[in-house]
Formats: sequence, structure tokens, C-alpha cells
Amino acid sequence: MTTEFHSKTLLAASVRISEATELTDALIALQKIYDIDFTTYHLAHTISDIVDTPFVRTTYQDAWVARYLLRGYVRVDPVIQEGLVRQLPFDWREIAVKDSAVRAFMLDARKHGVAQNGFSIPIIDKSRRALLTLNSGVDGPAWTRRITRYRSEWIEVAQLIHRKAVLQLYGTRDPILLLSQRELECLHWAALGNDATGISTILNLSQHTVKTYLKSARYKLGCITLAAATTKARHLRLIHPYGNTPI
Amino acid sequence: MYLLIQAHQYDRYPDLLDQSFRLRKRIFADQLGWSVSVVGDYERDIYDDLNPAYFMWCDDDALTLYGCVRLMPTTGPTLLYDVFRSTFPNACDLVAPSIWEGTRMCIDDVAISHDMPDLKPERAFCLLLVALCEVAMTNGIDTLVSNYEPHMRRLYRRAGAELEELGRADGYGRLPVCCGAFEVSARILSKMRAALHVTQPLSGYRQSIPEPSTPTRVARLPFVDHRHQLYLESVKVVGTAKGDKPLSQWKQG
Repeated sequence: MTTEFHSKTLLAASVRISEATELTDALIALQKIYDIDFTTYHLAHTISDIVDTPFVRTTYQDAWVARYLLRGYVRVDPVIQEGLVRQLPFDWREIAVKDSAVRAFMLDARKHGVAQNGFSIPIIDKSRRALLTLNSGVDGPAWTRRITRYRSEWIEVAQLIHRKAVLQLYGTRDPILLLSQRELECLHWAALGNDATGISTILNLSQHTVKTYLKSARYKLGCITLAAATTKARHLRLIHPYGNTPI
Repeated sequence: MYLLIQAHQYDRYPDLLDQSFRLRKRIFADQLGWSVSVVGDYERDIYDDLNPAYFMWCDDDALTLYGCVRLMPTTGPTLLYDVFRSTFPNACDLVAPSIWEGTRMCIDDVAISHDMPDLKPERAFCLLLVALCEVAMTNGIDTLVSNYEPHMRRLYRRAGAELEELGRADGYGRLPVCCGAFEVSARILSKMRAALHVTQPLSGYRQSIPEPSTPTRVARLPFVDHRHQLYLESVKVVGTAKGDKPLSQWKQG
């Protein structure tokens, strides 16, 4: 099996997210694992209706959530305003405070318990946009270290949260994206115990390309480990490693 | 200098964006003869309406554009999948948060020869590639899927890039258009820098971009020799080979 580095935190987060009944429980579990103060998931443009209703789950204090809604802060909040058009994850320290309304909003947020540092991850799937935000009270340098360490894990976690939200909201999972022939081939050989080096020799591809195919296959199957992805692919009868995968 | 412009910053760089759409029309429609959607002097398609990130190479005042590339995550709608779906259904179907699509990569040879007469277009293109690799790495991207004409492969190779061709489509332009996956890693970056004799980071900063009126960047010193120095009053001229004009300037904030 391809040796992948998967930290205990990511595996724990994955288990807890899948076990959680409600999305909010998943968010609470997530912030415990990563020692985050508050977590928010915001899915924009949900069911197309006359009113465009976003789907939001947050662990911020109720008083702040109420104040946020009453004052219509969503129109001012730079995290949401930028987060729903940005493509790349961003540190809140990158946000340029444009006017006094934004400054006032940020001061009010701090006064109502929102911690100083944040990291927001845009989630873009084939038809929707969402944003996962992690909010923390640790100081600047410590936050930078956290981001450096967990950035790629948090991006994976954001995808898991998003899938959970879609399931909770629509009552069904998104159909699995079609796996390409190369992805199936790589999964097939991975299921037979080959690592990326072995697969690259068998398929005459570069190691990086093999890893890329496997990563894409893993994403499409919604799994954070390759072992889970190969198992799922077998269950779905996409590959038949001990028979003959028709590829 | 190099800028990564995302949708929330479009209104800050209207001139650069305007120049980029004009440049794309000149390159892809007029020169390469690709069947791209042209409206007036602009080459713009539906993917430009999906808030893509644009990586731009421009002068230090963000007034003149030298080159650009459009970046989109493969988890969302992508051009290459849609373009290659008919001819190569499996070619450009890589999907993951760390795999991004880079399209419409081009340089403005006129502007470059005007401002940097010693810089050859091939080298300019390769330098944009290095800067792209840098910015992709700082943003956690490990693979870039991109399209190019077959002869470009040689240029990429010479620039130290490693790519795997995933498929080709005919009938898109005068030449076939290839779709390939480029590795983005520290190994590739140092290989590219060595191939092009570039000694310092070109783009040098994360995605937070200074206001164009007050370019403030703190000089970071990649040279081992300079590590003991805490400050440098002002660092000018980012490492390029002899004969090239400076690509960007480093000013102390």
C-alpha cells in the first residue's frame, strides 16, 4: 500500500465527523481535536428559491449569532464577503479593512467573544460554494505555526464537513464523480499492495502522476486514506483487484 | 512584480485585468488561432465569470502587464475538463483541492521588449513559470493541470519543469492542444531555478498583496551568505541571469 502520512488528528477528525449526527456536533468535535475556539460552516446559494437562503452552522456564542443576524452583519463581514469569492484558503490577517463599517464590525465581533485570529477555507464543488472558518484566540506567531502545520489537513477536513452538510441538507450524497481509467488502474494496483513507485513502473508513469491520480480518486470517493478509497472502490465494484479490473 | 489577484481584489486592478483580456485575445485568438470566445478586443469566457484567481506579472506600479495565467481549483467547474471531454473523456479529469488548473498562460512580448529589452520571450515565459510554481507552492497546490501546444513541451523541459501529457485535442487551433499535469514541489522549483540560473524567489510573498499605491514588502533573504544579516536597507534587483533587467524590486516596508 502506498505509504501516506496521515496524522492522528486528521484520522480522528474524519471518524468524528462521520459519526456526528448533526453538523454542529461535527464542528464541535473538530474544534476539540485541533484546539480551535469557534468553527463556522457557511454554504452559499442553497436550494434555489425566491429567497437565496444560505445554510450556516456555527459554534459562536448565541448572543453573537443573534446580534450578527439582527444587525445584518453578513453584508459587512469581510470574511464572508471575501470568502465566498476567493478561491484559496486565507488567514484573516490578509483581510484589508476597507472602511469604518468593517472596522466597527470587527471591533464589535471582538467585544462579543469572536477570537482574534482566523483561517477560512473556500470550498468549491461542481455546483456550490461554501466556506469553513476556524477561529482561534492564540497569538499571531502561534497561529502562523498552526496554519503551517495543519493547513493541508484542514483543507481535507473542510471537504469532509462540506460532504456532511450536503448530506444533511439534501438528505442524499452527491453522486460520486466518474473515475477515469487511469485513476481506476492506479487504485487497482494500489489494492494489490503496490506503492506509488511500483505503480509508476507498472503503468510507465511518473511517481508524481501516480500520486496525483490516486489523490484525485481518493477525493472523488470522499476518502481521506488510500486504504479507505480502495476498499470503497471494491465495494462499489469499480475495481476487481483479484478478478480482472476491466480497464 | 507578481500579483495573485482573486475576485475580492478585481476592483483594485481594473487596468491589469483589462490588459490581460486584451493580451489573451492577441495571443490565443490572433496568433495561435484557437477557437476561443472573443468579444471586441477581449478574449473572455464563462470561466472568467466564476471568480478565478489571476496570477499576473507586471511592473512595480501595477500599470503594465507582462504576463498572466488564470487559476481555478479542479474541484469546481474547469475549462480543460469541458474542452477535452469530447475528445479525451478521461484526460483532464483530475479532481482534488490541491490540484489546480492553469489556463491562458501567456506573456506580452511587446511590453517585455519595451521595458526589458535584454529579456528574451522564451526566458520571460520560463520565469513566469518559475514564479507560478512559487506561488502555487505557497498556496498548497501540488499539481497544475494546463494546456499547451506540442512544441511548448520542449521549452518546459528546458526550463526544468516536469509534466505528464494526459491527452491531446485536435481542431481547437491550428496545432493540436495538449493537456498535461505539472508537478509542483520544492524539487521541481530548485530544478527550474537551476536551469534558468535564478537564485532568489521571484514572487517572494504570500497571497496578501500590498495596495498598489504603497507597495510594502519586507525583504526576505534567501541567500545563505546573508542569513546573519538582520536587515538590508533596500534590496533591488531580484536574481536573474546576467543581462536580464530586474524583474521586480524589493522595497522595505
